[in-house]
Amino acid sequence: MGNVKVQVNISNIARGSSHDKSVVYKRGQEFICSDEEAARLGKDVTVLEKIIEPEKPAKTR
Amino acid sequence: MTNAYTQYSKSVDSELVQPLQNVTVGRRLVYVTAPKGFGVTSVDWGKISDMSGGYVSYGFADGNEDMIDVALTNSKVPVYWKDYKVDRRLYNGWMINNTDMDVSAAQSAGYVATATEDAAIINGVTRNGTTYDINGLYQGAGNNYSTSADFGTYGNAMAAIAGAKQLMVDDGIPAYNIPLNLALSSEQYGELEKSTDNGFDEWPKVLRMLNGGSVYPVPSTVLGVGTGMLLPTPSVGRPYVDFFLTSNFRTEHGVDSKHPDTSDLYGRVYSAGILRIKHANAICKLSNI
Repeated sequence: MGNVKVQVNISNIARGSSHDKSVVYKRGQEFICSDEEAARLGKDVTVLEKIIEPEKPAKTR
Repeated sequence: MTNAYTQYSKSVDSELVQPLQNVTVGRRLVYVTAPKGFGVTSVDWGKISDMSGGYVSYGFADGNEDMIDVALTNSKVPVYWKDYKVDRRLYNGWMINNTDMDVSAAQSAGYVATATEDAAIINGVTRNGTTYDINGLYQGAGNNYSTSADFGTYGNAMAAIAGAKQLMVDDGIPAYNIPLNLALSSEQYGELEKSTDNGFDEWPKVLRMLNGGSVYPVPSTVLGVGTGMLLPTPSVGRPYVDFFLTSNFRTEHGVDSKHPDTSDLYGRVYSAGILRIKHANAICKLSNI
């Protein structure tokens, strides 16, 4: 499981958790979300790229 | 013999159409045109993809005739159908003695055909479950309220409806002033039905927010669990979306010509029509409830 950058294909998508205020993304705008959310949004978004997390440096004592 | 089968089909139709219209959900959500005839196999229609802005000035000026962006679309009209068999002896009994007609086979097939039509209106026409040849209301919605709002928690249904209405109003759909219908997957319908807080039910508050519209449960096989949608009622929704009906529910019957006197009757129940989403922004899906 990872994150992806997506672009909005429809007029508006309101996102957020139930506790916070929704953020509205308009057609053409981009945002980063989880693979899971991108799958749920389906063709309302186009996946532009997979976000590759930078490797964490090894822990040193 | 053809006349006898036609007569039988008409008798089945008269007993079948009303029960089927009672179970269909899709046709209650959208304006349904008068049947145009089964021979109509395609339809041309205009889809509003974007509205240009208006002007304000102290006089009129030429050169501002930019077109409202209407995409002309041609759609093939699909048929929703199911075949069944009627026991020959039951048919003969009806013909000779005018005994009660057994329409159970036709009715069962009719419910399946209705469910297929409902799925086409509510979700869309798909062969593989992922790619949609024709968008239904959910797949074709122009707005998506995807904010997490589990209907199992009191207040979330109201929050989702308020958020969806706001998205629609921002797109020029007068959602605060027109009656709206809320279609919910059966699980979310059940959650809303029992949602209460200190004796205050959420249901009447939700109804008030719908400005005279209603809440409809949709089987989760048609509208996935955790989803729903808000859209104008058929009384005001015709400019935004309609169901172009070419044939209302009908049946036809015939026999195997090898055994014209003894073979069972082969029946078919069918309807035909296509959903036309003219202004997608008038539909807001709720995808995370």
